[in-house]
Amino acid sequence: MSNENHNESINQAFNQSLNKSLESIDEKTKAELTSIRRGVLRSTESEVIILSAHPLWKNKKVASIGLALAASVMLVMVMPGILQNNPVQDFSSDFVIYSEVDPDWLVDMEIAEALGDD
Amino acid sequence: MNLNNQCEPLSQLDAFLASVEQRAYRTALFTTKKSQDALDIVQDAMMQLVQYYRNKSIQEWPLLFHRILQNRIMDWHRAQQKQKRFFWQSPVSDPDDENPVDEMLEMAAQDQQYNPVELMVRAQNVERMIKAVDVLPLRQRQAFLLRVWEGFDVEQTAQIMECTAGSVKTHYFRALQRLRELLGEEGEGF
Repeated sequence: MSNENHNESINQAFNQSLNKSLESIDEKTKAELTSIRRGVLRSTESEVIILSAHPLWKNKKVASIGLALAASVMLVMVMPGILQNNPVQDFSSDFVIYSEVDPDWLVDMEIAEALGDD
Repeated sequence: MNLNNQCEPLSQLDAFLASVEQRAYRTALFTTKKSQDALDIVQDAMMQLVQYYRNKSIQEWPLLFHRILQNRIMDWHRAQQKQKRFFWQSPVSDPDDENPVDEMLEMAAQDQQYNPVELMVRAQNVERMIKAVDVLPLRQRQAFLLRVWEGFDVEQTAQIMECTAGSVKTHYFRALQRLRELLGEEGEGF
């Protein structure tokens, strides 16, 4: 038998052994793998990472993204309430930007004031 | 996005990932020895493939997926090494760091002693065989599994492992030699 045939035979034997080793993977792990695959594929359907898929939470990256998103959402929800309780006073109407005021109107106003006309 | 256009690649992706997931998990488990870590690695690899390469042709997926998977396994391995250093443990020396050229010459000289038929007969015992693969150094195991189990040729394996074809040959032959030694030691359990 040539070396090439020898290699072929040995590769087949190892291949069979390795394939048989897959049988030792328990059902729970197989189910987890299926769940991971589905979660990953679901993430492409919505073009965003699906955070509710349970196995994804085992991934630290996904979990940290999830926590960051959750924190952002909470902040957005809470901020209006905080602002309502501590409203910022609006002074904008107290100021007149003179450069934007029509000079003719100012002259009219001054004449009116001088005449004592309201 | 047109749903019909999207469904077909997704079903192809699903079929592809379903076909590789268990072997990918087993491959990762060889290195991590922890089920959860192996699952994380597989998930990472799937995510990367789906996010960045799902629009590539189907023929390219196996190579890309295994490249990502092997990178994740290497990352995990490096992280473990770092952790060991952090806790003042002596890093495990990798026998693959030896000079590959010298090793190749040595192996070529010993090639006559290599008896695959004998090795094949001894490899019948699956459990024993898996334990033998388990004790291989990481790079040897990668080369061995990619060549033998995944069926990639030397060039493809080199692309996946991000090294030269010569390196792949070295790792692969070393792996075979080591397996021969391990499986040849009759009566000496692993």
